[in-house]
Amino acid sequence: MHRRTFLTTVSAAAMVAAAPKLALAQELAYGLTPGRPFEGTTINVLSVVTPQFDGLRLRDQEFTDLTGINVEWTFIPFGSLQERVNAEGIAANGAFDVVNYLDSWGPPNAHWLTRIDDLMARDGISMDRYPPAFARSAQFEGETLGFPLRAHAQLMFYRKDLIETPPATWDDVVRIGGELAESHPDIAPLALYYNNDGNRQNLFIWINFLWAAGGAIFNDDFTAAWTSDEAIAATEAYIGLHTEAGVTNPNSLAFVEQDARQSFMQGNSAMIPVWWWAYSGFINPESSTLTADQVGFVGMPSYEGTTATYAISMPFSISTYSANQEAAWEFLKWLSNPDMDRANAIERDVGGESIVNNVVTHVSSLTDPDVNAANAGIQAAAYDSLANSDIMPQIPEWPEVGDILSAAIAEAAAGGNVRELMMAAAEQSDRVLRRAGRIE
Amino acid sequence: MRDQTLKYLLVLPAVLVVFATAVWPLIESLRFSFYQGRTDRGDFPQNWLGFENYTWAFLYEPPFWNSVYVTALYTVVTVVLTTLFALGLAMLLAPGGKLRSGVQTLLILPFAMSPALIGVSFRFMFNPEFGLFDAFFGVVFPPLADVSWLANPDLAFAVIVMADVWGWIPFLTLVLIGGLASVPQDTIEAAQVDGASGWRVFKDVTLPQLLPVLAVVIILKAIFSLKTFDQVFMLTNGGPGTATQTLSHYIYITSTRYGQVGYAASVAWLMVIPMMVLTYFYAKFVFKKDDAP
Repeated sequence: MHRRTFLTTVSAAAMVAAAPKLALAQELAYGLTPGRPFEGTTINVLSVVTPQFDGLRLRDQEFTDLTGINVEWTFIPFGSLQERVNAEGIAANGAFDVVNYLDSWGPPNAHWLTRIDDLMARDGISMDRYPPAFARSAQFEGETLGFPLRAHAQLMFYRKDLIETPPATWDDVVRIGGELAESHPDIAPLALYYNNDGNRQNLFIWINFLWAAGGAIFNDDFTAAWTSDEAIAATEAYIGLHTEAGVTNPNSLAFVEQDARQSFMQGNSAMIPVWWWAYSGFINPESSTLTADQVGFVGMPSYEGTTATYAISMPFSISTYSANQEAAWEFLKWLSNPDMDRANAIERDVGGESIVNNVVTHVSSLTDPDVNAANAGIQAAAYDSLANSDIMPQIPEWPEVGDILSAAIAEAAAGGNVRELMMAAAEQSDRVLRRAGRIE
Repeated sequence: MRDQTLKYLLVLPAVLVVFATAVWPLIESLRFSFYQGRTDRGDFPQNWLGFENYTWAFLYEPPFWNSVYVTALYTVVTVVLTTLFALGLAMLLAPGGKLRSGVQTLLILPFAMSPALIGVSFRFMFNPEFGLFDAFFGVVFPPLADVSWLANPDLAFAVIVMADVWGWIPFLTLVLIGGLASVPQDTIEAAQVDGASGWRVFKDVTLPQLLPVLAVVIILKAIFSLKTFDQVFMLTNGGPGTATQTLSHYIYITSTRYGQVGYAASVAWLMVIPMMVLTYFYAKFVFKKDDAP
């Protein structure tokens, strides 16, 4: 052995021996590759703006300390994220190693997102750590595109000071709405959002009705399935909350989800079915007139005896154009570890910054007593909501078909004929999918 | 170096910038329009289609024709309303007076605002729960008290028209004030001496001499109305349904949201046709040679 080789070997052994045992244990816990093989690498991350991911960013020094990999975050508001993600796919230059996107944008961009199934198998990670709907939202054609680090379940929020027993069915919603109209005529019973000025938000509640009625969006051959009798009846029931039962806020036609949340927070509406992440805003004195004592939440109401909810996620994936895919995988392993998922929903101060976040995605966090204790039990309610939950169709053409449906729902709520509009939407959808080659 | 060579060298950077930022993208977009060109597939742009994108738009896409209709109606309504209001204001302000400079300064403010900001502002002002305009119109016209403007197809269209007219009146007013200043005062005075009424003076003396400026104003406004995107995007995003989806918005959604760059490029090139016609007339009026004395 040469003298230099001997000295180098001894030095390396000494360094390993001197390394803190805790750090080594953490590396093993997160499944990180030992030996810091990617030291000095910088990975660029494109992410949506959210307090949840601020919490992750504020903790990333731990990752750098463990691996020697530096992380540069670029945060984009949700409204501009889709264009940015699509632009990354077209530019194909690997400007971002890791990208964050809404699950329904995954299929159109799947041709440049790295499949991680082999990497997960190699490093002993299973998608079973997520609820099935969350796991499916990060997969495409049976392969895994990334980890659903931000994901949402639907809940029904209601005013505890106005409503004694929360609704368990949509019939209950109508009944409670009638009672409220008499006892509190100045407050609209239900804030819904029928407007199609958004990311197909008016489909989110509609799809509860559709699935509960046994309906579907597509048939096996991708022709429209929302024209079946039970699907039309479910759609009429959803629209009927506004046009017939009259329990919705009169402005629900103009509302997008954000407007409906505002209406609830300002005390103008008594109930709102919406994503669970909205809770922190509902009880935040800076954004809401309501207090935690006034805001309650339960699972989504059932329709025709069945509760079927819609789940959504924002996965993180590795770009195939990235020159640092292995380093990016190390980052994803660390970023998605269950300990941090849990801590990010409990700790309210990270690196001297205030972080209020109740979003977790691991089953272990959703069912964790400490996480639930720190967040009024909303994770447990979300977990129940996810018991019979599904996602939107995972095909590249969904954004266009979804917009067609969304426009039809908006027009129906404004007084249009539900059956005619849904039939017309089906024709248009078939044409889109035929042009894309999905329908023969 | 000869002057002849130098002048070309001096112009070259500007030519290169124009080529890189305008000519080359135009050529590329024309090329894409003959391909399938979907961003949700690999190997962009894929599958040569010839004129299939163009024929598809014409024959099989109701949303395309809807956006053509919306754009045409929007252009006609905004051009007529903006021109009439601007002409009226110009006639009021042209004589001058103490307040004119102050009013002119105030007038320029709406035009100085970005269309996107106008869109956001109007969206807030027509918010059904706390919107200023929504409440105001509800008081002035009681039948509109419980109407959600942005949820009604006709009223949503009216809102985007209002926002556009409000934003454009000031600029056109200032242009027309300039045009009125160039109308010879002696012809107007001669008509007045002959006993012509104010309306006759305007119709038979002022308007004919203002026509070249008016034509430029109308064509310019029509070009901008045809291209309208920002306000629609921020105010209604083409909704409710597709009631306010202009061609520009349709092209944007089709290309960036649905990834159909080839098809969107073909629609964009179809949109170029009326723009070229309008630009031709605009150039004809602006660069018209004066008649020989």
